[in-house]
Amino acid sequence: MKRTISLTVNNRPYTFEVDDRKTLLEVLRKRLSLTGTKEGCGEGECGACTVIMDGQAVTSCLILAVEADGTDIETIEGQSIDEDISDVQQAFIDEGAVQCGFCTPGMVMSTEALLRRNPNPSDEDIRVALAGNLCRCTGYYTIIDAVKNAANKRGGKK
Amino acid sequence: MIRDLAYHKPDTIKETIELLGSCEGKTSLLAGGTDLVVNMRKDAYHPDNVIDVKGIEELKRLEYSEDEGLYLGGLVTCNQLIFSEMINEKYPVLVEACKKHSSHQIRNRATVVGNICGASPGADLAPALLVLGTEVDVVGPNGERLIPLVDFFTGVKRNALEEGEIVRGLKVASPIKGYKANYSKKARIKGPDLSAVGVAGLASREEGVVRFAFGAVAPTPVYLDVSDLFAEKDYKAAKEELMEKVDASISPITDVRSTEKYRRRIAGVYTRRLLEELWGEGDK
Amino acid sequence: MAEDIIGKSVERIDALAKVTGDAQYVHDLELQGMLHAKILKSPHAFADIVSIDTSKAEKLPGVWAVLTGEDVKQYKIGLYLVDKTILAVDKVRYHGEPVVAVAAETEEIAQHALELIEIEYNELEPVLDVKKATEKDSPIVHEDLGEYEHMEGVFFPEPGTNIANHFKIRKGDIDDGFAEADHIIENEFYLPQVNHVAMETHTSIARWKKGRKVKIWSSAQSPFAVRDLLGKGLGLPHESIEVVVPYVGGGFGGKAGIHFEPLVTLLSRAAGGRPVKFVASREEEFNSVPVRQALLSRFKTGVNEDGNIVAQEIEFLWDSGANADYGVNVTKAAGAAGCGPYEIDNVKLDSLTVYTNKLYGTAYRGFGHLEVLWATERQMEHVAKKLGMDPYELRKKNILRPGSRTITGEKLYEHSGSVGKCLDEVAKALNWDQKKEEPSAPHKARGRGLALLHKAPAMPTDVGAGALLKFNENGSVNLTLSLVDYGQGTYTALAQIVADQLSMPVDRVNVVWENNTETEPYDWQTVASKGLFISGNAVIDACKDLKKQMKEVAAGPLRASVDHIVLEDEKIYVNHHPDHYIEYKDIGMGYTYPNGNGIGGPLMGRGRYIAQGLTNMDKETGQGLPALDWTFGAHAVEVEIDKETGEYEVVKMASAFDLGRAINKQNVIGQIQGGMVQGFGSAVMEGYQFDGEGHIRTNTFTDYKIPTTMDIPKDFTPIIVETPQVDGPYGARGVAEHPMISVPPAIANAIQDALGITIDELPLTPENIIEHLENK
Ligand SMILES: Cc1cc2nc3c(=O)[nH]c(=O)nc-3n(C[C@H](O)[C@H](O)[C@H](O)COP(=O)(O)OP(=O)(O)OC[C@H]3O[C@@H](n4cnc5c(N)ncnc54)[C@H](O)[C@@H]3O)c2cc1C
Ligand code: FES
Ligand code: FES
Repeated sequence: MKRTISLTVNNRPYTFEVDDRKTLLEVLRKRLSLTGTKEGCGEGECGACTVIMDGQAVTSCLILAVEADGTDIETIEGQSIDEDISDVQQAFIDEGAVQCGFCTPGMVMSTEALLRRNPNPSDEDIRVALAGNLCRCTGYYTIIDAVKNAANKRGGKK
Repeated sequence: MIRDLAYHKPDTIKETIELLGSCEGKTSLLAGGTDLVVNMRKDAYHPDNVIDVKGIEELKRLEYSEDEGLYLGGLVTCNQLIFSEMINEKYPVLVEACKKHSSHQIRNRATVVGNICGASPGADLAPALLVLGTEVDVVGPNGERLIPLVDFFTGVKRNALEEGEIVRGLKVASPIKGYKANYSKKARIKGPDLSAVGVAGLASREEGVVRFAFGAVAPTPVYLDVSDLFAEKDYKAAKEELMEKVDASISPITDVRSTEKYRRRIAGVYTRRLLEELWGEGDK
Repeated sequence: MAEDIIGKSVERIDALAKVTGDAQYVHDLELQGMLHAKILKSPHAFADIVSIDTSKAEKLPGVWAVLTGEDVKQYKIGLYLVDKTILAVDKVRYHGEPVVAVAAETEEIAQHALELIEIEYNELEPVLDVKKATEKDSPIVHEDLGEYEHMEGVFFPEPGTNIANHFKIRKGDIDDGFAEADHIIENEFYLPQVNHVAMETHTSIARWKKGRKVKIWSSAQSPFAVRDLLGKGLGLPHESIEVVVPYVGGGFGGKAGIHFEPLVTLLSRAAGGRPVKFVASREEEFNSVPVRQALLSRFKTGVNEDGNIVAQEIEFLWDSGANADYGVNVTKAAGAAGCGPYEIDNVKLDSLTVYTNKLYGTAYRGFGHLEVLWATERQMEHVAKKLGMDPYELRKKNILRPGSRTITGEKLYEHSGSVGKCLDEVAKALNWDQKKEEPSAPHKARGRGLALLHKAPAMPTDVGAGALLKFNENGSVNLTLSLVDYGQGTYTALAQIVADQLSMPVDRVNVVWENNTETEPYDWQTVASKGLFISGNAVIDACKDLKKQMKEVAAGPLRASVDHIVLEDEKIYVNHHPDHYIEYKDIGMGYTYPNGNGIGGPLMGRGRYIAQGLTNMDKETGQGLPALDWTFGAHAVEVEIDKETGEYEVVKMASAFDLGRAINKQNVIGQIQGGMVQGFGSAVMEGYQFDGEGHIRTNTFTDYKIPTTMDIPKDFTPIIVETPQVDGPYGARGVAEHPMISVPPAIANAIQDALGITIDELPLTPENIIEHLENK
């Protein structure tokens, strides 16, 4: 079955018809060509597909696109305009928190959601917030540093 | 890959029940989808119809009153509980259990009711809800009924719901005076993982209540109310008998996540530690 | 250059593309008219294929190609021992082996087509135990072993058995050695298969073109290896194959060699040239792509009362699974490091690659060394215990030092690097000479452990790579080479090298990211921690060539001898007249005199490097010179363990590596941290599980766990030791694989120290610990 949905992605409104069985991840990547959001497992375990939906970090591989009708979605592509990148993205660069980069979009989105709800995360808060984002390259140390760095830059008092 | 399906999004429980009655083929309710969609993707289960309950306002209730206790609607997510001041104050054991459930992203979607309805033997919310005293508020074509949570689990991934019924929410008893409760979970890793053993304990010296509940050590969660034991016997004897009772009540298996032997050991150690933490040493 | 760029933590050149989601991986590519491939996999570990009926699938609208083993049986794929077919032929040899492949308009149609395929199997008794596999009455996994092509004189299969290779080392006289020993200590060690778990699963696209040509886009570590093996396997000339590698989401050895490229090529051909894409699902990544081999080791060590190890007899049984193409080389390479970084005069070592009916083995970060050093470093602990000697002292006494000879007879020098320094650094970081801290609770215990490691690149003796430098119009340069940077950061280090060599800012060096076999100079493979060493040298060579040309051209207009021309800060001048200069941009495309005369033409630096002086190892004794460079390292670990549950925490850890010279410090630290955590995964939680019939039980992230942010040791100190490598670029040697090696024994040794139990099989789960405590 198909139905028409309307949603906002990175501040841009969309209305289109979608197959009931398609996931939000498939629609973002294939339909909207927003391939920055990655698929690492399709089973909710790796976090590579993390996007922010109505302000909350979610794994887009476990959400049907039809469930996203009427929602506001933010993806990695919405975190920068040209060279103007977010402080979280800059912090990932500065701390060397990027290796192969496949987990990075998901990590950035999880971090963004964390810092919005908790501008002063403790070490433990960071580990908990990112525990659903697997990275096989970095061993996480630089990623945790990047989150702290971004929090400091964003004016969270330490 | 998910198979073809028809998606419905009713606004009311009434409509939902009607849909449950009228849809052809297999029909599933969809809350957070973190259980259902995974199964659909793995092709472990493929419903012809999916009824998304997220449009039903009534299911969003999260209310507490001194007399009635807690009402936890069908759409309340794990993270809602973690970030609720009220829950942190009145039922911190629920916060503990939710924190040990999956990852942040999943908890933003996963509902408590979905966890219970999925009826997985290791469902992390079950032990805590059992020791708190919980009833399942069910609505169906033939009216409403309350099912004690202990009776709700009927087998591995099977629950007591009948055709056309939906869970509106959970009624959790008012906090027992002076109670303490906690949830211990053993998993393979410290990060997100399904539980290999889950133990919830609740004790109140004031009211003479001691309860335990266990996940992932039997086909369904196991509940033990041992208040009488601690009323009748001295602490040491009661504790010893509790330990025996735990071992006799659980029937763990060996699988990828753990072995029978180790599960028994952990259930024992966690029970003992929770008892010491919640009840303390010595008689009432 | 005023500022020294070498050693600086320059920002990764690929970082911006990756943090913005701009970097495109093969996962992200879509071609016009592209079809989607799906594969049907074996449900059995070992079975005869009785019949396959694909007729219904072929008739399904939207299906363009259906291939079975029968269609592809003439093609064999392999590098060292050519034992692989593209789809199962006549037999399936592991659970998850691809049996039928379909290409269709959509993934849904392809999936539907698979469901219409009927296959009848006749199940056979699977070979699941590596020890039993070597026994006389074992079923044979590959009856045709005798007919398989292999590198003659390098690998030695034993037809009629399950032994795909037998590698030997004989040094000194083993009998004399044991006769001399005061104590003899014998033990067995085991570790299971593990998965690489690159976050991007294997993905390939092929477009078959008229004239028997093909273009491939693949998540591969080694574009030229893909081209070579595809060409040889399918009988296509090299020049008809183009392999493109864009961004790659991690490899760790799992994307070395060749994987699904031949399959998508044949599907595209069968589909009349429509491009075909295959993306392995995570389950397929666990089920159908190769893994790190399991290893059963037997050690017999002769040691004197004073701790001097005089003899060691070793048998390695490598569980290489259903194919041994890559496995044979792991067996050989790791065999050559089989005693650990110690000098032992009398050694007898037999390293056997054994077929079983499990997932097949391949390279994984460390290429057999994590496996081998799991055994050597545990055995050292057993020896120390037997002698009642401090494990630090025992190691210190036996380590390789300048003047020592390795077990293959190679002499080490001062500049070969120092395992002793690494050992001392980590011992110091954990205050080894002081008493341990008290445990935080009475039911807990604390322990400390050490482990050493060494590894040289495992590669053919004649591995080489090229590099090409071209000026752009504005005086910046483009560097092309076919070493792949799939996350290690090598390209950034190479950019730093070019910047230093040519005296220009690093952001004026553009390392062309996408790899393409049509336009880039050759490189054998991106493996073995040889990338920066070999390609770094090739890049330096290219810079020299370019500088020479620049000077030659500039000599005219500057009216000077090339000997007196200086290149600095993007300017060329005669050394005593720095103000009279030519800018790079005015010479890169040739110099133009004021009157319009042009000279020089576009300048291009060509560089190349080949491993020098390496030799094959002798068939009977293993003696030879296989090592390009040795990187040594050490770990020290402190654990706190709950004695009732076996749960534990690595409370403190330090790791040191003698990497010669850090070209980019931040990236080196990144490699150390990331590698250590992978080793931590192998130590603590990872490992395939099979049921009694050989079915994989751990084929999703739900049941195959890797470390998360909550699992990693909280207090970890990476330490860089720098003893420059004479022939390495700027003194550098490889360090990509090493950080994960020997993490498991370091932790097991700490557990032994805490609880007095000796755990000799991985992973070190709390259950495993309790089991040993109960049997103590
Ligand atoms: C990566 C990952 C990690 C996980 N980790 C854990 C974990 O650590 N611990 C744990 O316990 N679980 C875990 N789960 C399982 C799952 O997330 C939980 O069980 C979750 O609480 C289910 O809630 P949901 O709202 O997503 O359920 P859904 O998937 O929406 O529904 C689950 C089942 O309940 C039924 N259902 C839902 N709502 C109702 C209703 N109102 N009335 C009747 N039936 C209903 C559905 O039809 C379905 O059968 C994990 C899942 C994933 C994907
Ligand atoms: S792809 Fe969604 S969590 Fe892995
Ligand atoms: S950088 Fe490669 S997975 Fe995180």
